[in-house]
Amino acid sequence: MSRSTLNSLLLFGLPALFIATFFVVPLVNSVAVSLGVPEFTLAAYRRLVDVPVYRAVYGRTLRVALIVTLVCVVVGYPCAYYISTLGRRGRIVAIGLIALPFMLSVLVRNYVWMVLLQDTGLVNRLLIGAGWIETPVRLMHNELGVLIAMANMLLPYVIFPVLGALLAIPPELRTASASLGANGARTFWRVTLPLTSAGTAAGALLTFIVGLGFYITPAMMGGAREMMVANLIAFNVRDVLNWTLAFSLSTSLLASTIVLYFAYRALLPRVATLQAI
Amino acid sequence: MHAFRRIGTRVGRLLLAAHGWLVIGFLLLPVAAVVPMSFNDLGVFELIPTNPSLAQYRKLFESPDWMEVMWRSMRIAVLVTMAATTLGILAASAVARLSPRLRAATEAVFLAPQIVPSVVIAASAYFLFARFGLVGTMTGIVIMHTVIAVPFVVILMGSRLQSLSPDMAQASASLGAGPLRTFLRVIVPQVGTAIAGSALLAFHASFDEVVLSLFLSGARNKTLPVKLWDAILFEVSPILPAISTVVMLIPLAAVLPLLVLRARR
Repeated sequence: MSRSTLNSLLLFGLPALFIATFFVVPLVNSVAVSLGVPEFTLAAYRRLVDVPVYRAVYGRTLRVALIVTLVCVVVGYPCAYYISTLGRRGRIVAIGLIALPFMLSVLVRNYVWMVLLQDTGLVNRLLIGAGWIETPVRLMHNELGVLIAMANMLLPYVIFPVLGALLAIPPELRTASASLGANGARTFWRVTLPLTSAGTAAGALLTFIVGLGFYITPAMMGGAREMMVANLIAFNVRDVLNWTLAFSLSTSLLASTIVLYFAYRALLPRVATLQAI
Repeated sequence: MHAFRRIGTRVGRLLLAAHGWLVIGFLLLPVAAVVPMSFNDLGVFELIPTNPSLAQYRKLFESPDWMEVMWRSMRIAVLVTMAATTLGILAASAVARLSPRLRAATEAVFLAPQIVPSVVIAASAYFLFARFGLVGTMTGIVIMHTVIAVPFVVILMGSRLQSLSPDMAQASASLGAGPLRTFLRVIVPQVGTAIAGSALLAFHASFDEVVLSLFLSGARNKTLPVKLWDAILFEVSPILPAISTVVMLIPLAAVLPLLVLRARR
């Protein structure tokens, strides 16, 4: 063994051991518990399918993640497109502004949405003040509140990859399309959109993956009935101590995350990367 | 006909710009709302205070409960920053030496804690930590915060180290410097900014972490986000925006000395 290989192994050993012990081992153990090891049984998983309450939680989680992803793509794509048309300085400012909320605590961001969307919150007061409504509209403690806050937190996951894909398109392509007689709309549908589809798909997948695992937002913005899978896991661990059920839920969430993440990684080589901002 | 099309394009552009800035405004809304709210007078609670005051900040810094959890969170975050930066740099420099295929696979393992939902990580860690008496201890929190902070360091350091030319390190080795000396005297000065950036991200990852702390902190070792969680859900208090603003500023303040130190060199 050469000295540099040995060095690499030593360098590698400490972090690898750490991640294996405190991340991989607990996860593997949780999967084992969900399967009833040392015996092997799928009873816990059968319950997930059979009990209507659990099916409803899965349905809601998928629906919320899917709607948020769609909203983020539809709203985020044109925003990224606009930023791509800006000059260098404007682009940097816009990117900085979009990244800024990441510095704000996740809890605080949810808290602000609670304050803005509650019955006596700013949004309702503005709507009543404008005379559009007479009694407050219920904007939180329901799925709508969860969706608004989640979209607020997940939009950058779409905007950044789409922006990267847009900026990677050589400007000559659009000029060529225009000089061949295509108008703006035709150039967009035939040149820009196809060239950014992989980047958009990657952003959408990432949004969906992250959206599936949301815990804080449904707990704060949703009502008692807006539980998502993550909340059901926490409930079973912290309140009722049902480990097999909690771990069958968490294993299903883990498995879908891993599968989707591999799909995301497979997409990456086809995503044109951002060369220069 | 031509003139109509030109007007159409111009309206389209205006709509696009309006949409772009509306979205950016929507994203900035939480930040923009929380800071003015923090200057509320005692007792009243307005979105834009009519009598701006520092009363909430005074109350916060005079409250032993909030100061206790704030110091605890800072101590945890400092320990996590040191552990995660060290482990992450080691991992990134090992990964950078691997062949591209192995690199992708090992990178995926080190980045996984960022992809796996934190509830899943928290539940599985809680189960094992409960057996080893680690639930409710600072050690347990520091360990798990380090797990989720390492990916930030690996991403940032990985891209920086890969752009580094190996010539300098080889020159250093051929002049007789050992690997540690080469690392400290040749590599670190070249990647200082990336290390500072990694440290900031690691600090923030720990200081802002909610879900793992909710599971692992127990009643005795509550972190700032755990107390904040309780306060938001069970007592709506006008002190919250002030705490939020401080929470937003602390990670920045923690990194400032690093940046100053670097600028002086």
